[in-house]
Amino acid sequence: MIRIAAVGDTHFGIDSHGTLRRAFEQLPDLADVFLLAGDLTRIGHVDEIRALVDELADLPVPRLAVLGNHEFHPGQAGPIIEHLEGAGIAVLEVSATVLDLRRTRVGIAGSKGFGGGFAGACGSDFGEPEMKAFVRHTRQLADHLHQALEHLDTDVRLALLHYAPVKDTLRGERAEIYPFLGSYLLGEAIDHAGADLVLHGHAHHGAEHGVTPGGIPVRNVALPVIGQAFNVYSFEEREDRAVLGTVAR
Amino acid sequence: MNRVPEPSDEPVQYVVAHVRDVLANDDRVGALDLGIKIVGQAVFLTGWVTTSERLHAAEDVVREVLPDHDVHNQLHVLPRDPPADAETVR
Repeated sequence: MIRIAAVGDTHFGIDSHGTLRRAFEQLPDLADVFLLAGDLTRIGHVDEIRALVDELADLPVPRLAVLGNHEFHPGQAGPIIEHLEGAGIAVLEVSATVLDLRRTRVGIAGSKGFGGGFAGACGSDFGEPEMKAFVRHTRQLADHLHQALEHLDTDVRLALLHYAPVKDTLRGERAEIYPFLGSYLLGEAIDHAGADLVLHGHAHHGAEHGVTPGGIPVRNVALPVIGQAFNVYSFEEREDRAVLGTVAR
Repeated sequence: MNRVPEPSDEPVQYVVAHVRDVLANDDRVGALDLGIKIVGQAVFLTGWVTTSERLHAAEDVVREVLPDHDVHNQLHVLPRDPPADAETVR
């Protein structure tokens, strides 16, 4: 059994010191890898990421993260990435990595993602430059996510996002703000490339469980949704499975 | 300090929107998802925050921008326990 721990939207600030450490100390007994689904900080300041890095220090499991919109607010995303990576926490920016966990090769493709809405109620690449830029940003990230996933030749493939790829995990949010919470372009890219599980955050009032139109499970791991320090998702080890591969291609 | 337009002159939905902007941009809070409801001179704050400091800071910010209102702080601090079990995906 390989076990994936994940949480998003920790919104760490300098007032958060120690608030997650007790739970994180138990993580190595519960999981083989720890994924952080963006909005790591309260308002995107470097001293806030330092507080979170202190909390994550010395955990003997691989730790990977994507950034969220909060990390971009004051324009310090670059120093935040440097600080995370300096502490051994890999930041996936429309990129992928492969880990060997308990004889199983696990590929993780990550992207912040962006908004735009969902089929039938979404923005279009049309009109003012600002509107085109909004939609094109999402489309570009979705294209890169597709490429990153497609190049993963691993037993298990995970997509780690901040924004939501489906509406399912937004249940509980006001429908008017769905276009600011995610985009069908992300879900479409994942369905076309294939994956075994998608993890995202961002939708604090959403629901944990969802599925893409292509049948890939989606989990919203925003801290306010899961109501605990992290969730754990498990997969059978390679030798235990009769059939390997992805849910959808 | 960010102040909203004089509430007595402003439709309540605009006041709520201004308060939401202030809570999002104030370094003490930085939250975009708090519930804000104004009924007469009462402001109700609802939702979850990650620390008790932020719970009180949100109330302080609203008192600063709407000094003539009564603030009812119904925020909660999120639990941060480790999970008791795992979900088997496959």
